[in-house]
Amino acid sequence: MPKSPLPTADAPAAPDKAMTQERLATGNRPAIDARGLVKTFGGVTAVNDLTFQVYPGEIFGLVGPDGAGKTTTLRLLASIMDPDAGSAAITGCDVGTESARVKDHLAYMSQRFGLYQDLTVGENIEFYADIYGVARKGRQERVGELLDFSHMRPFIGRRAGDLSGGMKQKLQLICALIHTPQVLLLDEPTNGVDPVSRRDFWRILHRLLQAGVAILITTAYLDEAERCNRVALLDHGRILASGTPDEIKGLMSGRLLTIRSNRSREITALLRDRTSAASVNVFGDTVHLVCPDIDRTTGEARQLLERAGIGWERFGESQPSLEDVFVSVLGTGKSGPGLPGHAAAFTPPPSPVGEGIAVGVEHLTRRFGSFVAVDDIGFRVRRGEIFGFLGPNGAGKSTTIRMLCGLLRPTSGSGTVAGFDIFRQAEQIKGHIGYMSQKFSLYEDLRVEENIDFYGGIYGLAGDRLARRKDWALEMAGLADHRASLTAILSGGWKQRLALACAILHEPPIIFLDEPTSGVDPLSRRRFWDLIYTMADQGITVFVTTHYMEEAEYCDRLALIYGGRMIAAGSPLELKTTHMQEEIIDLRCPEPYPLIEPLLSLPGVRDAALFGAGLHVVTADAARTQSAITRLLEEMDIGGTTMTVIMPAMEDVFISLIEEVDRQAAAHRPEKGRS
Amino acid sequence: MFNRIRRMLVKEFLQMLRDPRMRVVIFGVPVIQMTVMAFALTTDVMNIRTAVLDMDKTPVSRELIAEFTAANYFAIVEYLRSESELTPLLDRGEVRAVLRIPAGFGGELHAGRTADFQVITDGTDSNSTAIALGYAGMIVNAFNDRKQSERQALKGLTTPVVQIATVSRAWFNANQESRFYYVPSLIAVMLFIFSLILTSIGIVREKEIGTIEQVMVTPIRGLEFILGKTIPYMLTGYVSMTLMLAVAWLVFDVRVAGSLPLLYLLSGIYLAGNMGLALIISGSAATQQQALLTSFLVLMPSVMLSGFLFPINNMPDAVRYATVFNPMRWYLEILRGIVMKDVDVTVLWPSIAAQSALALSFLAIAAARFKKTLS
Repeated sequence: MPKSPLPTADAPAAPDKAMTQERLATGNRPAIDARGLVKTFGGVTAVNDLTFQVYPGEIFGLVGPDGAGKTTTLRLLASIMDPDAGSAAITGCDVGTESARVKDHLAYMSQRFGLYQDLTVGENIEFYADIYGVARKGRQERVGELLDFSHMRPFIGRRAGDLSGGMKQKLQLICALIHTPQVLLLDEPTNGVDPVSRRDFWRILHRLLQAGVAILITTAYLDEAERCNRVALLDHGRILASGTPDEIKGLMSGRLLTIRSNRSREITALLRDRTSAASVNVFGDTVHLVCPDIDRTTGEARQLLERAGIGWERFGESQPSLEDVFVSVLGTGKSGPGLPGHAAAFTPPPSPVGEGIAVGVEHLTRRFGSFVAVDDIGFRVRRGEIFGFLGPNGAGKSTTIRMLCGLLRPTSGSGTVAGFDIFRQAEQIKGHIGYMSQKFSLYEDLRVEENIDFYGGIYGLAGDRLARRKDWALEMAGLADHRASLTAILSGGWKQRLALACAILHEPPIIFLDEPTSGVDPLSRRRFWDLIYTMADQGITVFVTTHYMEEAEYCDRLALIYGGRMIAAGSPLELKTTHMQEEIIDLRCPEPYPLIEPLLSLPGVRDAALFGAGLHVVTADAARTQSAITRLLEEMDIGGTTMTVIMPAMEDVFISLIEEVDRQAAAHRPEKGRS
Repeated sequence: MFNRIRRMLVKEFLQMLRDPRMRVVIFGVPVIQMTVMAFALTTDVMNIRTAVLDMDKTPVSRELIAEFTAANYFAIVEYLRSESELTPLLDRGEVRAVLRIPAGFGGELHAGRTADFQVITDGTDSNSTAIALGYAGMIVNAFNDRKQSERQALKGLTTPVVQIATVSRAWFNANQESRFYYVPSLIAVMLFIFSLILTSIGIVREKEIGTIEQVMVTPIRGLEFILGKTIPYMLTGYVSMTLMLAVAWLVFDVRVAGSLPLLYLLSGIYLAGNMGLALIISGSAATQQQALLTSFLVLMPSVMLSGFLFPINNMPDAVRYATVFNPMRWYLEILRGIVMKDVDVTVLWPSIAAQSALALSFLAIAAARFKKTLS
């Protein structure tokens, strides 16, 4: 391991890590003990000398870019794979020599669904109970407890294949927990799960922690990583840093200056490379500057903005999030593809779209048999706009986008794309749009260059234009040096940029992106959004679907979709200010989870839930609730807390809207519970 | 248009030829299977393991047995002493035929009366049994004829008995060797199997990976996509056909008697029809597994009812009419016609017409079903 001042996993006894220290002092042995794990696949070292411990009752997060070795680590610990060197023990049993006993104490939830789609919820649970050898006696109590806690009881007779993504994940967790494991390994368990189900999921995890289970989790959501007791930042199979989220945040070299403005993209372009800031990144309406010298950068930025005549709503220092750290630690020293200067070579041809509406639909509906996938939706997207379609998996996002691209015929309704009718002129539409599907769209057995040639060719590009666009695509994807590499060996982020490049080789005025950043690490996600901004600045209309709440904030306008229906639309700011009647109190405290129940019992509190490392309390009257919370904290003798009334995050808005819809649905169908 | 098809072709060939396993599957396996099967599939019956139960033990009975050993058809491996040894021997399958000569056989003949002689065969393999019995009949007839003339000579009769002499001649296959029949047929079977499976899987694989979705949103036309996906497999079909014809010639000494250009032209129609079938299959399958299973459902009856193993004329009427829709049936007639008989269009036209009509209908159905949408 390279020598660094970072605290590493070998030394978990950081001074403020009271819990760990206490456990060490009492001689508590680690539930997961990895020592020098190494695993190579054909010359590529996936896991390189990994050492860390996870203690009972602790949740440990592994975060890192794609291909960092997260999944391999979990597989080594689950004794599905044998390490090339090093050893690991689960509750004191060696994974190599005592794998049978390890499996008794361990539950592993892989990214793939381990459920039998044709069996019902109850049958799946019974099956797993049988293979884990759970005694018949007492089994029903255990199952009942799990069902109730996860709110899954109403669905016990439903086929697993008919469940939503979030419910599938909860069912899988139930199946994994049926034999009361002492160690739980979770591989991106909440990927693509709607925020309501994610909250349920975390509630279950916290209960397990209280029962003394040790949890190792990999996640692409950095707000979830902030909830972990400790986090390890993994890259190229090595731990770059580990510690509590606060310790990790302390690793960022420099301080964070944020500027919020409705002209955030202009500000980014203006400030990039013109100030002493180490990096300038845009997060929706906020620009983040990482500053080695914050006073100097503040002065420089202020001057530049004033000279350009750009106003702002907020200007000042902020606490860095884990994502800022992630980007600043991992984002340096790598070849940085997707620089805006390169993408500017994109010159859209004269398009029939004009200044008006790029995409417009009314009463659009699509049924599959009796199932209504998209139910009477309507919206308009202006030229040059980034329009976001936000909703959990299975909400109807992909179905809508496929109808707009001419891949699916709508059942009813009307719409135009680039001025062409989606019913009659699907083929004309195809010449004027770029589309990047959620499924992988490149030929893995072709080389990078060959993929570009192929897609260029079928888009009708030839000769000089193809050569020019090919150079552009290679540069945009950052693959100029890898043009002869097989596509299969590229990592997720590269593939995704190459797929985007291939989808827009013909310089379409409208681009449809279906979950472009799903399963991609935060760093690649950030770079990808840089590309999207660049394209939008050139007047290209970008229609994007996502289930990442924070990505929704990057869009100019949004439609929220849930269960096939559009439940709200507007700019992120409009949604936050007009669709939420309640106020949000952001409460930061050392141990947020035990506070949820007492907070919910306070008068005026509508909801209290984990949010990042802290809590969001939803209330009708912030002032009254704040004083009530202060009293509560004093009674419970909890210090070190901060409380601020904040503008709701997109997740707050979305959950509040979803719960409203579910309440109405429940009112119509009393037999159904909340999902 | 041509640029797009060309790109599709380049892509297909790159994918096909990059994977060494695919190269073997496309060019090696059909030729190897055809060679092995051509060696294995033979209806020529030789050296039938035979036991003899001679209860007569006269010079005449020995003479008859000698007749059987003289030809290469029967190999006498056991001499039995009693009736009771016979059954276990057949049960265990140690012999496939028993020659049973009852006591008094020689005496009866000598007395100028009809003598009984029995050939017992293992009927579980009815085909070789029939052939063995045929051989036995031939040998006994020859023996009879000789005895007849001997007796007449003995009686001093000089005018021979009037007899009809059958002079048989098998055209196009003078020695009646089955390889002349099976080798061309195997080429037809291999082409059918490989073009059907490879093409349908090739298309369904794009569905499974999801690349088809990306291609479908480009301005590519349905026909361009179909041509781009099928032409490569047409060409590989031609290549493996050529390889198999070479093996037929070099290894089995089966030469194409008729016109090669005509054979290649008509094989193209056959391959195109197979492409149509493959497209229809891939349209209804969502996964490669389903495509493979559906292909097998089509393959089995097509091969069995093609006249490859069992003559179509012997099939019940209903089945015989159904074979009209079997492209392999017509191609087999064409292939055998050109390779063995050296006949031309004037003779083959009914088969050619039927084959072309089938190929066109398959392609038409496939094109009509192919939509550039996912639903």
